[in-house]
Amino acid sequence: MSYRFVHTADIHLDSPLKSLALRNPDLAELIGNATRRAFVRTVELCLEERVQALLIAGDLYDGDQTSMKTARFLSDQMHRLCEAGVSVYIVRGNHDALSKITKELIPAESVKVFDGRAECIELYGKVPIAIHGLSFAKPQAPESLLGKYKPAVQGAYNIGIMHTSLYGAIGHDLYAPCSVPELQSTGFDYWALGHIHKRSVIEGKTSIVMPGNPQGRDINEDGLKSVTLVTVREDRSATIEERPTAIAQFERIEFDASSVESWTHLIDETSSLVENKRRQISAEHLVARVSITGSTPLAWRIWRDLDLLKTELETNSPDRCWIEKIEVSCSPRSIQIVGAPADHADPLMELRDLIQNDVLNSDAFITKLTVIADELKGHLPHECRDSLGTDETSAQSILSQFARDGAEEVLARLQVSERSE
Amino acid sequence: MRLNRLDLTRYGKFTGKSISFGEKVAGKTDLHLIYGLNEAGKSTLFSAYLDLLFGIGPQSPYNFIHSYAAMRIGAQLEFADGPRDLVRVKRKESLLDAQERPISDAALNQELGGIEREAYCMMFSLDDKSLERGGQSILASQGELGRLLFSASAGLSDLSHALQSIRERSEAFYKPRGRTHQLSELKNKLADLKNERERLDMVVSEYRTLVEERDRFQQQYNSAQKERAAKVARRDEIQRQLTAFPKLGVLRETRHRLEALSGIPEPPAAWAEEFDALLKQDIQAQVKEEANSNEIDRLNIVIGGLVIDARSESMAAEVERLKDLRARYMSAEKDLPGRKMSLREADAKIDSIMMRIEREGEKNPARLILGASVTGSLQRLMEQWSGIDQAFQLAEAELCTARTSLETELSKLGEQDSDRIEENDLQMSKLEIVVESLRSSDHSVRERTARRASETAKVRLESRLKALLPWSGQVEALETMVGPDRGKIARWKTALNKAELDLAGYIRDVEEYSREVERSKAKVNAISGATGVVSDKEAATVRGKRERAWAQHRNELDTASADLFEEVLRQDDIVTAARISHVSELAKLHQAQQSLAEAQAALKRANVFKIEGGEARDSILKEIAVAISRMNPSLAKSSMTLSGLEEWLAKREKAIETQQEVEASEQDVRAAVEDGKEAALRLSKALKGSGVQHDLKEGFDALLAIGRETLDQHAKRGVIRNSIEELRNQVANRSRMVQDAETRQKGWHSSWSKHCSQTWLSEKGVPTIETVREILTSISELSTVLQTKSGLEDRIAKMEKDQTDFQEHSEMLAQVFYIAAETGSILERAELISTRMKGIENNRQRKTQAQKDLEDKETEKRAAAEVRSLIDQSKNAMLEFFGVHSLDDVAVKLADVKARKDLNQRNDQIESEVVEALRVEDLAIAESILERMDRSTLELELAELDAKIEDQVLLCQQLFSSTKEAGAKLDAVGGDSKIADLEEQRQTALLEISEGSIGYLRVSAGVLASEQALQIYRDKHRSSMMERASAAFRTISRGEYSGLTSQPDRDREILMALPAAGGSKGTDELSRGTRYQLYLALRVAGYHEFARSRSSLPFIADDIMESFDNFRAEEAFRLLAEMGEVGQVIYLTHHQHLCEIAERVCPSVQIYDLEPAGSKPR
Repeated sequence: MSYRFVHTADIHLDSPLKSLALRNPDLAELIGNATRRAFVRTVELCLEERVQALLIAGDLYDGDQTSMKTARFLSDQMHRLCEAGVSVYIVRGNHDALSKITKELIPAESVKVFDGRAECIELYGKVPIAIHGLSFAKPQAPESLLGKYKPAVQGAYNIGIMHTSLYGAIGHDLYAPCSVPELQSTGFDYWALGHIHKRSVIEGKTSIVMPGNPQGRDINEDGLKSVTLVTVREDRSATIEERPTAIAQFERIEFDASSVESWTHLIDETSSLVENKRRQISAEHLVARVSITGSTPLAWRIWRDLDLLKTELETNSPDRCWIEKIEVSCSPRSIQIVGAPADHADPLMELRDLIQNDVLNSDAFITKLTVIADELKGHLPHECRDSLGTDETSAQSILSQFARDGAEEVLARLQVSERSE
Repeated sequence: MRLNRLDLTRYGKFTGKSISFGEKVAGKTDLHLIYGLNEAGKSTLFSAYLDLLFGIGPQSPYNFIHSYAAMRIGAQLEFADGPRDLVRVKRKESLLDAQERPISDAALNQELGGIEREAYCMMFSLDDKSLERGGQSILASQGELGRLLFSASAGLSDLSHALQSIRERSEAFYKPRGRTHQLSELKNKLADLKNERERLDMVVSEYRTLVEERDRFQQQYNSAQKERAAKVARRDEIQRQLTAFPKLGVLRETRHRLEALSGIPEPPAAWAEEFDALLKQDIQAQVKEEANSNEIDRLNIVIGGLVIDARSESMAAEVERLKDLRARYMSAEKDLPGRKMSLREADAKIDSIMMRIEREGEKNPARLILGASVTGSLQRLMEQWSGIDQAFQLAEAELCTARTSLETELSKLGEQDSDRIEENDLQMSKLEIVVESLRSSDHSVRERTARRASETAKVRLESRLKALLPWSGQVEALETMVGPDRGKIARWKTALNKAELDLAGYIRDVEEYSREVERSKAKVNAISGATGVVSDKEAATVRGKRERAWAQHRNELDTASADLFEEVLRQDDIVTAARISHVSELAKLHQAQQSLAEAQAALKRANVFKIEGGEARDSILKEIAVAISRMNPSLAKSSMTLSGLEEWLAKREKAIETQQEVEASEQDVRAAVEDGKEAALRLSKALKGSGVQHDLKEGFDALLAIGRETLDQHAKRGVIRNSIEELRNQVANRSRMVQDAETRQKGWHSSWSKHCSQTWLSEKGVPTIETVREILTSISELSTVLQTKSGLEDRIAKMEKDQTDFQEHSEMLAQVFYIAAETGSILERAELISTRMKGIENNRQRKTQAQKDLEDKETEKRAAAEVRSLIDQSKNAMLEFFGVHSLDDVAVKLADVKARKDLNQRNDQIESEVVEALRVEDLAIAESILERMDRSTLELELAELDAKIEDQVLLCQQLFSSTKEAGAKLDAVGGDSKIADLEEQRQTALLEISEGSIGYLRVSAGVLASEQALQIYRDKHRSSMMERASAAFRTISRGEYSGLTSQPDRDREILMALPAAGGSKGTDELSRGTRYQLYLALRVAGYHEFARSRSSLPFIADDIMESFDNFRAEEAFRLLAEMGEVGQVIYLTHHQHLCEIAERVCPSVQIYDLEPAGSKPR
């Protein structure tokens, strides 16, 4: 009789998806509440696979959440597991520490929430199991927690649950730092980690598993999202399996338009990329961000008809495939062909050169643009202000990028509005 | 770049079309006008040019004749480094060089300065529509100079509008000081979402308060509930105790009554039920015994009363037989008279038959019945008779007829001697052979046909001779005439034909070479007259000059000589350069001169051949004329041609043939007449042999008729002789048949007599057939009647016996039953006997039944006695137990026993109730407790408790509902996702705002940058363009405006027009037409501006002067001609008059007509 458990982390229950694709109310209906639904899937996986335990390595909630509805939902799910005889072991993560509802949750009997004092729970089955856990009550944990864990229990399969940023990861605050060798030196058999949203698995004498979050919430959390199913046999050998859980999967799709000949061609090529991606992934919904690069005579048309391009792509896309945004960074081909910028015979190209060389860096232009930006900023909700730069330097850099793109867009519209009629 | 030639090899409606614009001639305006009616393909041509430069688009509309694969455009383009032949096809590597090798577009792109197709269209082409839009754009730009200059250079007519619409699009998201834009809508949405969330959500603190409240209520409810339960229990106890008091009294009363019943013994338990049944059985048995003995007495009396007579009873079978006899008696009584009547009728019938066969008084008619063998033989003979008689009659009649026919034939033959006839037969057969052979002779027909043919031939000959005019004379002369033979004529013909063909060829050659000479001369003149071609001589002169100057300079080495040498050196360079550049022209000149000399020599040779050919022909003609005159002089006079001669000779042949035909026909006539005479002679000889009289002179046909008649007569006589022989044979046969018939008659008669004599029929002599037939009929009838009669007699005898039997039997029975003979009729007596017999049988039955009933009753009596003894046994047991004498006493005892039992039960129940109410172990304790209790104190306590309990219940209810309410509030929080949904919507709205802000800022920045760039553009190009535009505007306005100027306006610079009359006008003050002109002027300036800084590109204008009057058109052409000085200008039009105007304004303009094949300058 083996011991089986599911390991997950960073569920961030009820934290919203961030995608413009949700402007489409149909889609919002289809993939809304994805974090909840992914969690339900995890619970169902536990029931289907008849596991003995579910391990949650922190960040069950998302920060400053206050709604008791979330707590109630979680409580219901815990009871489902409890009725099926599945034990739940939870350590709190940094986000859980922030959440006020954490304390209000009355867990079911079979739910063990580790507190600030390290604990080891021993289970005496055919496979003796020792589960070590430690939570931190505060949102910050700048020092390693590893030393506080109890030593490994001899003869048992030791599982450590910890919320840690390991040796640091991009986009994640430092939290309970520790290194792989340090974890390996504990003599534990399995480290069930959480905190970093990207899956990573190190198998060996001490298996170290960061399962990633079970549902990506924006384009920066792209790719396959899953939980980990572990089977520990009587000889203490273990099998680690990845099980997909996401309702919607975010993916970036890049397309180099240098070789496209016509608009139709562009649509066909891009659509087929999207279709391929759709075929590759197993989640019900694909939310794709398409970025178009390269130099092409169609560049200005793409700039101008971005909306149309998106609509056509969406129309051509297979079922359950959504284009959240199209990013453009292509340039007109003629720029490459004719060498020196001053040599353009086309006045429109001359105008482009003037903008890039004489206007964009001029004080007059920057001053005027800053006035426009400040005016707008004053009308934005505070959550949105950061998208225009957090300080003066970043604001200037963002604005100058806007100006470059904007000039391209305006020129594109001038060029295409008449000339292609 | 310049377009030297455009080949529309396969494109649109064009196939193999090529338009050559020639090479650019220095100092000449490069203006070209292409004229073609609508649909001639002007726009196709423009499109082809663009496709050549930029490639044929994926969905080109010009593939309607030539498929994509076949489409092909070629051109010679003048690049900076010289002319280039290029071809464009529609495939991947679409640009080819002159050797059909694919080449890259890069060189072409370089030449175009990176301008793309659309840009080229805008910048280097102009049509009515773009002109009009351009005019409008001037208004839209509000005269902003930067925009106008840029528009003119880029060919954009809608710059201001485009910028405006871009700005408007961005302002859909946000507009400073605007109220309704997406940003404000999104902010409203955020606010709504926030409100909604507040309405639906429950925050932690609130939740905690609710939990505490619920728990408190729960606790209070629990304690209140407990208190209420205690009070209720006490109340129940008092109530039980109060009920126990009266029960104790009842208990004591019962005990007293039980004591009174204690002396009665306890019977078996079943008796209470058995007693009633026993009582009932006792009474029933008694009643039944009495009824039974009464019935037995009655039956014995009945049996004694029934006595039966034994003798009468034994007669039962006889009485039964009497019934049968009576029936027979009755039917005889009814039928007998009828039968007797029938008997009498049969007798009468027999008498009548006897009379018919003439045997009245015959004693025994049965004797007369004949046997079947006799009757059969007689019948057979009678049937044979009619056949025998008839055969005889017929034979006699046929003999008579045969004899009559023989006599008639004999009289026909008459008295001729048959021997003579025999002899004649031989002669006749000879005659027949001759007649038969001559009958088919055809000599007369042949004669007639030949005569007719002769006549016809003669007529034809006459007409054929006439056709030979002018010759006339006899046929014989023709036959003897000598003419040229067929071979000769054929040789003449061939020779003459060849001579004439040769001659015609020589004449053509002469003409051709004459033209060639002219052409070559013209070519030589043209090339030698062309400008720039420097002859060798001139070149030598200049070179000489140079050498001399050099020599001089070497000698002197001063400034003057140097200058002179420099000048001459320059001249020499120019000449050398010119010669190098005109090398091909010089080569062409030499080639042209050589062609001229060759042509002239050929012409001379052709003339000599022409004369020789004429002479050859004439000599043949002469030879023919000599031959004709040799034939006949008269023919020579008529100057006959060769074909005429050939025809005449053919006619002569025909005439001679006809003459031969005439002669042959006449020969046929003569032969036929001879044959006729010979045939008549043969016939006459044969007739004579047969002895027939005739005359040879009568002719062949008459003799033939006589011969045939003779033969017919002979044949008829032969037929009659044959007929007589046949009839004689018939007469002999018929006589034999008559004799046979007579013999058969006699045989029959003897047989008949024999058969009759064997019966009584011959008693009165042999009877005739008829008599016998009649007698046989009657006798068959007689036998039937005799049978009937004997049957009737038998039947009557039997009936009479039946009557006698009945009478005797009834009398015998009457005696047995003692019935007097005088009692009624015989039938009534028989009835009486029957009745008596029935009475006896009835009595017998009744007696038997009574005896059976009696036996049954005796059996019942025995069974009742047994029942009685059982009842008595039970009865006695009870009587003895209770010591009483009757069952009624027993009943009383049993009732007492039952009452005692009921009282005991009741006692037990009350006892247990009391014990239960006081919750004690037994009754003794209960009784002692109750005795100590005060009833009224208890009742008071009970009343107080009831009131308290009521209050407590109310309190519990209140607490319960409060607890429930608090719980429901908590439950209402629910685990649903509504809040998460709202949060997600909020997040999306925020993203939308960020996205919109970025878009807005990007476009705003773009527009701002564009505007600032346009100002820079303006400053860069103002001076050169304003000058050119000003001049062009002056020209196109025909001096109405002296030019253009600009003036600052706030942070902009505005274009102003200067009217000739003075002052200045803003662009918005100009008329619409003037604005078009201004736009045209700006475009002209744009073109010049372009040409100023780089190699110009061909400019294509498509009928922009639709609305121009002739003067305006003239000015427009002047502007185009000016453009033609810096670049190539191609003007497409379908107006004939524009060609004339263009030629007037610019004499060096080249005009092409698109319609005729191979467009060349007009």
